[in-house]
Amino acid sequence: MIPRHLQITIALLLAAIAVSGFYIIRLTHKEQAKSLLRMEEGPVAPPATGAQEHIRVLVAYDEDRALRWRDAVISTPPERNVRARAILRAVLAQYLQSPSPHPLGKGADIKDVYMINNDTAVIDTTPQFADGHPSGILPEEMTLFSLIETLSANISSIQRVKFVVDGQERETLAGHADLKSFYQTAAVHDLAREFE
Amino acid sequence: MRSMNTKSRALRAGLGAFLLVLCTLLVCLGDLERQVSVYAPQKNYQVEVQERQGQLYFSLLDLLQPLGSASIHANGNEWKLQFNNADAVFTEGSDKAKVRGRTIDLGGKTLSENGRVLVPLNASFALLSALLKTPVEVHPSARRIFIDNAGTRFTAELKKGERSSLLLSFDHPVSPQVTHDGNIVRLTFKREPVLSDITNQPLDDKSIHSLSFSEENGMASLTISGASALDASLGSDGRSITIQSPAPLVATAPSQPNPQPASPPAVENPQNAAPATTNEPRSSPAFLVMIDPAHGGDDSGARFSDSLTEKEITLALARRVKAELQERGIAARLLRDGDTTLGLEQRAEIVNQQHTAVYIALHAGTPGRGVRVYAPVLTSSATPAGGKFLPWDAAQAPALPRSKELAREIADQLEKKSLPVFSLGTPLRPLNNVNAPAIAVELATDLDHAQELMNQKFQTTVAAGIASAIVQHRAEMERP
Repeated sequence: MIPRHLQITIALLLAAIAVSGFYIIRLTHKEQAKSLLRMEEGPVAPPATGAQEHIRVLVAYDEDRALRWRDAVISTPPERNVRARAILRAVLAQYLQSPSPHPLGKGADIKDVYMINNDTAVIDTTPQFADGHPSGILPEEMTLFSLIETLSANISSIQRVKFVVDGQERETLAGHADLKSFYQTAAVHDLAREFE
Repeated sequence: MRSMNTKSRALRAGLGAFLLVLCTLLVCLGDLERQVSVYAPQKNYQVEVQERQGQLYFSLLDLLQPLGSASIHANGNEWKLQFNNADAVFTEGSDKAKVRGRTIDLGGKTLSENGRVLVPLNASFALLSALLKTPVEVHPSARRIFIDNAGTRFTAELKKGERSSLLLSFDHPVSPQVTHDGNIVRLTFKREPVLSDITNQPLDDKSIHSLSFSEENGMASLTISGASALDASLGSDGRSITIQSPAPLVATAPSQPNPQPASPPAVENPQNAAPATTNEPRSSPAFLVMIDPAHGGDDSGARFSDSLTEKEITLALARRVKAELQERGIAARLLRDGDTTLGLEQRAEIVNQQHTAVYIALHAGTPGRGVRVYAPVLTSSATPAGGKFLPWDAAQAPALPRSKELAREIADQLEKKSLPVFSLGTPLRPLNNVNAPAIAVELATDLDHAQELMNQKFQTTVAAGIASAIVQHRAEMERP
């Protein structure tokens, strides 16, 4: 016969083991989620290296619904597509700072830019760029126009631009701005001027 | 002498009884003049409306009790309504009510009379939508309320011949009151939720000239006019009505050769097409406005708060635009009249198939305040190659000048109503896939003021501005 006080001690020990086990599992899950989030929010490609280049970026300002040209400095890599990505990232850097003139979702980034025949650019964004984008005609179009205008201002040969999200075609950015069509930079230039 | 007195007493009693009957009739007729018809899947019924403070009011419980379990309790000047699983609070003298925790603008003060709570008729749409959480369509001027897409539609088929006939086929049995007035026969639907997109449809026939649909005082009427008196006969299943000119009593003389030269065939123009001999309400009237409440179903659009999404705002506004257009005699349809998922290409396809005269996409979004009017801009690399066929992305190309004109007219009308208006160009889809004049109107707000977008007065002002501009646009299109 096991003495009663021993029974109580064993029961308490078992309960303590169960509670601490449950606590450890929760801590592990939390840490995993945190590291996953850090991974998603972190850069998806190494920063471009090379000579410093002064470029002009068109930045959207939600407060007064305007697009304004600003100066930025990027490292100019030799590859055209990496340079294009660096140019676009300079725009996103404006939006991802705090306070932001035009907030985007965390983890919004340019994964890659594919150059076709020198005149067409296909911009591949992270899923967070679209999923976390504020929904509305104006905020969505201002994002696209600022990216297209900045790209065509710094790489003059680009005539057409298309966006894909995580390598896949999407109908709209966040319910409004068209992501299916190829944008002609000349037409976008006229539209962007309405906001300047 | 006694018999004279008896006669006079009898005459007076008779006169008194006649006056009593007359008064009762007048009271009944007066009541008939002030009613709202409610059509729901479970029941069709009428609710009395009364004029108070210059507008029409109805009893809250009279409206809700036929639709479910409704009870109301007073607590000081507050009235707490319990309707099925929803609750609402009305404050006497206040023009706001709280329904399911959301504040609703009633457009007039809540009144209480003899233990009854009276609310303005104009609030019926906002109130029923919030309480029922099902699609509600209100025709304010006709005082008709359709709940959960309740409605009886019909098709009309004209069979030409020596005795032409017009066959009206309804999707539910009907029992109209038939009245004849010279060459006109009128079918009045007092209890049936008969709906139609027709306002006045001329018919290309010698004996049956036109079919028109109207609704007023909680009732719908179909009026058919002809060259002579017309007969109306109801089918055995109650779903069809045949309108026909009476059979000739004598045989007609053999027809003589027509001395008039044959007229040249009409040139088909989609905007001013001659009415088809087979008229079906789902086919397009000559000038049809397609209103597209953007988003819906799985696609909520912009989310302004936990309880307010873009899809709800656009649908409410679309219904008001439709009502305003119909009041101005313009046929209008909604691309969705409920919480339905529709793709952008699907929307454009429907619009193009209906040979729409004008397409309006309605949106709501941040930032800013007021209204943004967007005209389409072709930014795609697809360019019309000339000829009959157009690339899908440039289907808008031929209509582009008229779209810009319409956008300008709408902006002008909204500005006249003292609304802040911003005109912009946009490559927004599906505008560029629509082959008719197409524009987008966006109600703009800051997140702190998003609830104002559901304000009935604001929406009605915007809807009236859009409708006035379309009336003007049609007049310009029809100008030779």
